[in-house]
Amino acid sequence: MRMVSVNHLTKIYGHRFNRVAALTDLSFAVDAGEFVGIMGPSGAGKSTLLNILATIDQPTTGTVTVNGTAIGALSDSATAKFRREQLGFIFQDFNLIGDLTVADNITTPLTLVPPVPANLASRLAAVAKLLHLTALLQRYPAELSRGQQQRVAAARALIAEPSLILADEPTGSLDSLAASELLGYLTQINLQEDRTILMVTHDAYTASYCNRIIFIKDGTFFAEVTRNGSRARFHQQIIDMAATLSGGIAHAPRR
Amino acid sequence: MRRAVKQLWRHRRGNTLAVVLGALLIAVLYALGALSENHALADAAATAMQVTAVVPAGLTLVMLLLLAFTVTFQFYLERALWQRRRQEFGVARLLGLSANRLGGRLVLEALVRQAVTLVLGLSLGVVVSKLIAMAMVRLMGLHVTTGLLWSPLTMLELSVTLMVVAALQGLLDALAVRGRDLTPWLRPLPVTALPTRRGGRWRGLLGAGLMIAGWVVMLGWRPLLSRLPQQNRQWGGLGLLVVILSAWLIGTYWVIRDGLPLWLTALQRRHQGRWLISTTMTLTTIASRLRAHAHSLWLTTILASVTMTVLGSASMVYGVATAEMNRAVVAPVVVTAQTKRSVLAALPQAPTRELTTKLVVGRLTGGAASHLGLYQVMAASDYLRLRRGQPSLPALQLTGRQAMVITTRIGQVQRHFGERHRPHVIALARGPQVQVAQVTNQFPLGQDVFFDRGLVVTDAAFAQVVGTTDRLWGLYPAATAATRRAVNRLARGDAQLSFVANTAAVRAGRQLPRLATVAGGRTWSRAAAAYRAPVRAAGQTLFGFGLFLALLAGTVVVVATASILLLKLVIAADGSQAELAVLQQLGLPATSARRITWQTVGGVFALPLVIGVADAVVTLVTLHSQVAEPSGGLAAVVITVYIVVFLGFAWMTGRLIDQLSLVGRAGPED
Ligand SMILES: Nc1ncnc2c1ncn2[C@@H]1O[C@H](COP(=O)(O)OP(=O)(O)OP(=O)(O)O)[C@@H](O)[C@H]1O
Ligand SMILES: [Mg+2]
Repeated sequence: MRMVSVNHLTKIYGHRFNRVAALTDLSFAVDAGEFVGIMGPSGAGKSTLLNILATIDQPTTGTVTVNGTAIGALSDSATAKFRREQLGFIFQDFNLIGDLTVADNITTPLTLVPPVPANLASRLAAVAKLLHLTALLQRYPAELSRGQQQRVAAARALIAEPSLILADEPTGSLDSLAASELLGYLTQINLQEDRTILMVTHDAYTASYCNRIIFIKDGTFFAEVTRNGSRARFHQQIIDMAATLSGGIAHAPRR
Repeated sequence: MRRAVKQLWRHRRGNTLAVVLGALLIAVLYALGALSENHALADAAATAMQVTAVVPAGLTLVMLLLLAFTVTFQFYLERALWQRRRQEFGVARLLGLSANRLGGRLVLEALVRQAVTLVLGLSLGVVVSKLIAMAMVRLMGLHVTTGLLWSPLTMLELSVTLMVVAALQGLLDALAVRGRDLTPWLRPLPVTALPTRRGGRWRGLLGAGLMIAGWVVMLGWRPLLSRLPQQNRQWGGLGLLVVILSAWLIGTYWVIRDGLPLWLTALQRRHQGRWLISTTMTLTTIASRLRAHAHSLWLTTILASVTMTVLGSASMVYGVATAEMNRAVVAPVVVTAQTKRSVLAALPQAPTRELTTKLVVGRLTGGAASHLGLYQVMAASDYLRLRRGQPSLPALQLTGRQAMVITTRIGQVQRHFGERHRPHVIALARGPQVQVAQVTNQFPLGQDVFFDRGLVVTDAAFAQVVGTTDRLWGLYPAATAATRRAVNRLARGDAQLSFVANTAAVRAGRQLPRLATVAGGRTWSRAAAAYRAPVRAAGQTLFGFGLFLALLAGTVVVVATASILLLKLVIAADGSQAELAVLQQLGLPATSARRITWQTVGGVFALPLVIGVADAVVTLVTLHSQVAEPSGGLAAVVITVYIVVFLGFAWMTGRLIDQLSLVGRAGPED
């Protein structure tokens, strides 16, 4: 079943004399239950793509279908409903609410519209335990390290059990242990609960948790690598492709 | 210079508000200054009031008060704008801009902005000076026309003062960016530090206690004061007032800074996981605003309380004073036989009302009192006839030998005729002995042309009184300019008096009191003619002037305090709108986001308003119980207008923040 299909997507920022094409005629598709990585050099348009998928940004031309719905054509309230019910988004810069405690930040997606679910407390406890946040629940985001903030952002994206998870460098600020744990968890919900995940990353090791990587360069589709074998081999394939992408200079894998 | 202008332009949203509000304040200041130097107005007012220099002095005083207020206001605004640029300053210094240079730029910016504000404000001032002058002339009942007021001296004074203030402000800013440690500058404004739980809770509770105690004491003012020994009453009262005020000031501050934020947070914690995010956000945002702006909210609350109280009491006093005056002033002109001819010659067509009295000496006894006085006795039927044209005179219920005493000395009346004493009796020297059944402080035709006391007796008793006939005439000339001139001329002439010799023979009743035009020995005296129209005009001018000053100052204060609140909230909204945008990205419906904005603004604005109204009502109720014939109508109207203006500002704030959420994210400016 198709979860996401992106057709001839173009996004142009600015106007007239100062135009930046962030995406040009990008097309690809993702099936339900896939764990897809998106890689590319900085400025390639990865965040732009994710923002459009999340209905936070509008494409200049082209269409995006998620779960059978053309998300560009949704009304304001339908868009909000889509974000609430289908989507979990881990933002590149976290976007936590400074005035709210960690607990309130995490439960936000469940308290946006009535009714507030009765099992909210137990769901919070579960996700907090999973991401090692239990001791931090009554703190404020400003009182956390960046890695802790990133885990809060992840918890917030996961608590509502969305069918599509979009993650913009979800491990960028985590140490390798925490990164492995989060990625392990993402893999687990991907496999056991059949959730679709799209993850942007710069890091080949992080990417190796996915089962397919889409490479983007200058806003357009460049290549694709699918995992069929061990993770170590997939890892090497990714490093090779990244080297090709950046014109022969290999990115040293970050471990 | 170019750089300063560029920086001002870059931060134009805050600066525009600062300039516009500053200009409005300066315009009012200029108008007041120019008015105080306007001779035509001062002369007209002096003629009307028969006192010189009241108007210039009053205007100057209020101008100075407003100037002090303007300086405070600008200081607050400047701080708010400066706070917003902290990060910019931090980065500039991190990249190597020296503190001196940065400071120099800040001073220059402050000067340029003040210069712009002054040019705008003074030009506006020239224009509005006419309107303000018109309002003043109207309220004071003067007949002067004024054009645009032009006063280079005022302009110079204001410019110099405010430029110095701006330079000082710039210097303060410059000093504040000198710190060696840059880390606090580079972080975004710290998310409101929450009050320490325990200390804050106690301070909050204590604060609430102090506030409530202040209200209770204020409401029980009279009984409390009467507990104090008589000789300590004045100082005791003053001391009590100082204690109440200080308690109230401290209490309010603690409630705003500690109590409310903590209670809101506690409330929200208790409901964690049960409330919608919109409720949670509203409460936490209000709590964090209270905490972050405790200072200016406190100041706003105090100013709101003071303004509403002053406006309310000013209009109450205005109402009471005008009513009092209208009661004392009945006929525009009252004459006696001595002056009747000359006055009638000047006002030939004036309709008249006549009152015939008999002058007779009488001794009042009752209780411990015994007092000999000169009574002007009138018949009940005459009194009732005059009462038809002067409805505030009390109704009569006299039978047989009963009488009504008329005297202005209400205190004496209450002491002498209190119910604890046995019935008072007046023995008239040549006439019947009457029993005091009623007392009033209102004289038919007005009080000035009575010697001492009036006495109303039944027609039958009046017939038995033997006394010197003394006729009074009330004149009611048509209200034309010619009459006004004639009356003013008469009033300015030598005041004529009539006398009655207070001799042993008169006191003993062996001789009738004799009216004379010259004093000799001990005498009773009175005016031989009373010109009430000029007195009334003077009163109206004076009270009107007071009301004008109170209203003007009140308007300025409400506008300025509400704008500080507006600015602070709009600046803080930069952050909270970003948070609302995140919530919308998570799926919060746009209407809920908007509701959060409006409820937050409403909550923050409601605080000073609610406390202010409570304070004003408590004070006014106390004041109300002190005045003899209270009138709260005007006060209620004025306070309502205040509330409406304040809420108008809340609405504007909500609108501005709402627009911010659309515009703010697109621009690269912030
Ligand atoms: N609001 C904007 N206005 C103008 N240009 C923009 C805007 N947002 C992004 N761009 C441009 O679009 C291009 C793609 O940006 P995007 O953020 O999608 O890159 P990215 O692949 O996520 O990079 P990174 O790996 O550094 O996060 C960049 O050239 C960027 O400069
Ligand atoms: Mg990015």
